[in-house]
Amino acid sequence: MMRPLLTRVLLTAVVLLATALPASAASGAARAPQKITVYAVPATVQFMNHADDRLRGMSTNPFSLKEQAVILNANGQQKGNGPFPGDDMLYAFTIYGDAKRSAKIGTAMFTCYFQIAKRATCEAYFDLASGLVLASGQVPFGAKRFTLGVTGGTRSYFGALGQAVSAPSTGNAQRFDLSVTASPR
Amino acid sequence: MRRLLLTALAAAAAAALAVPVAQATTQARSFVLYAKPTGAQFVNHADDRERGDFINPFNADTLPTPPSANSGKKGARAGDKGVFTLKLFADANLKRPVGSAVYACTFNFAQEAVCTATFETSKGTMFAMGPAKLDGATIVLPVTGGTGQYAGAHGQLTSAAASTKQNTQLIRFRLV
Repeated sequence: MMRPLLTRVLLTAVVLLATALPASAASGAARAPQKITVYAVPATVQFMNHADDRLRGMSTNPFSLKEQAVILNANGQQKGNGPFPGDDMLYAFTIYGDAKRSAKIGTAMFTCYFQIAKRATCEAYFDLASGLVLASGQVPFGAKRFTLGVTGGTRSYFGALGQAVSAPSTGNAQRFDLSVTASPR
Repeated sequence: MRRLLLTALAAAAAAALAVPVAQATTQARSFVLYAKPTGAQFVNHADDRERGDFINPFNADTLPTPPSANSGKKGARAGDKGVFTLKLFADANLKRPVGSAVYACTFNFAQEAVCTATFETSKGTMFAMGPAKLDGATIVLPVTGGTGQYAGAHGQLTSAAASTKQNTQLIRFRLV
C-alpha cells in the first residue's frame, strides 16, 4: 500500500523538478549585451534661443526674494551666442551602419536642454529597423566624446538597458557604440 | 521511509513553488488602460525659434542644413511644446476611472514630437518616453521606470485609437 503511493509521490516530484529546471535556468542566464555600432550624420538642427524668457524670468518668477539671489543675471555672464540656461536644441541625424555611409539604417533625434556652463541634458532616440533605443545623459556643448545611458527600447530592444558611447568619426559623423541588454519579451 | 517521503514531498513543493517565482522574474506582464483626453496646452515658441536661427552658438559653416526641413504643420514646428492630460480607465466603456496621465511633448521635425509620459494610478506611477507621430498613428514608447507596484518597471507601451469609443486611446503596457 505504502510502496505504490511512495512511487507516485517520487514520480510527481521528479516531473515537477524536471519542469522547474528549464524555467530556473532561463531566469538565471544573464543575457549578453548586444553591441551595435552606428554612424550618425547631422541632418537638421534647430536652436531655440530663449533670451526673452530668460530675461522675463529674472524679474517675474516663483521664487522668494531670498531665493532670487541665486538666479543668474546678465551681469556679463551671457555674452556671445550661448547656449545659455533654458535654451534648447533639436538635432536630427541620419544613421548609417558603416563609416563609409554606404547604407542608411535609421535616424536619430537628440533633444537637448541647456543648463549652466553650456552643459545640456540630452534625450536621444535611435530609430533602427529592429526597434527603438532610448538614451539620455549630460552632453557639454561641442563635445565630441560623451556617454549616454540607455534607458529603454522597443521591439528587439524591449526593456533595453546599457550605454551609448559617442566618439568623432570621419567628416562630420559621430560614431555611437551601443551596448544594449534587452529583456526577454 | 517517512524521511524519504517527506524529502520527496518537500522537493515537489519546492519545485512547484520555484516555477512561478522563476517565471515571474522573466515573463512580461501585460495590461490595458483606456485614456480620454481632458486638457491640452500648446506653447508656441516661434520667437525663440526665429531668434535661434540668427543668434546661435554654431559656426554658420558647420550647420547641417537650414531649418527648412522643419516641416511641421502650422502651430507645431520644431521647438514648440505641448502638454496633454488624460483620464485613465480600466474598461472600454470608460466607467471605471483608475488614474490620470500627462504627456509633455517637444515637437521636432516632420510632424513628430518627443514625449515624456507619466501614468498615475492607485498602484503607482509609470514613466515612458519617446517619439510620437502627430498624424494619429500608433505610438510605441519605451517604459523607463516607475514607482509603487511599478518600481523598476521596464518595457513598452503601445497606444492606438480605441475602436469602441471616439477620441479615446487604448494603451497596452508590456512590462518586465
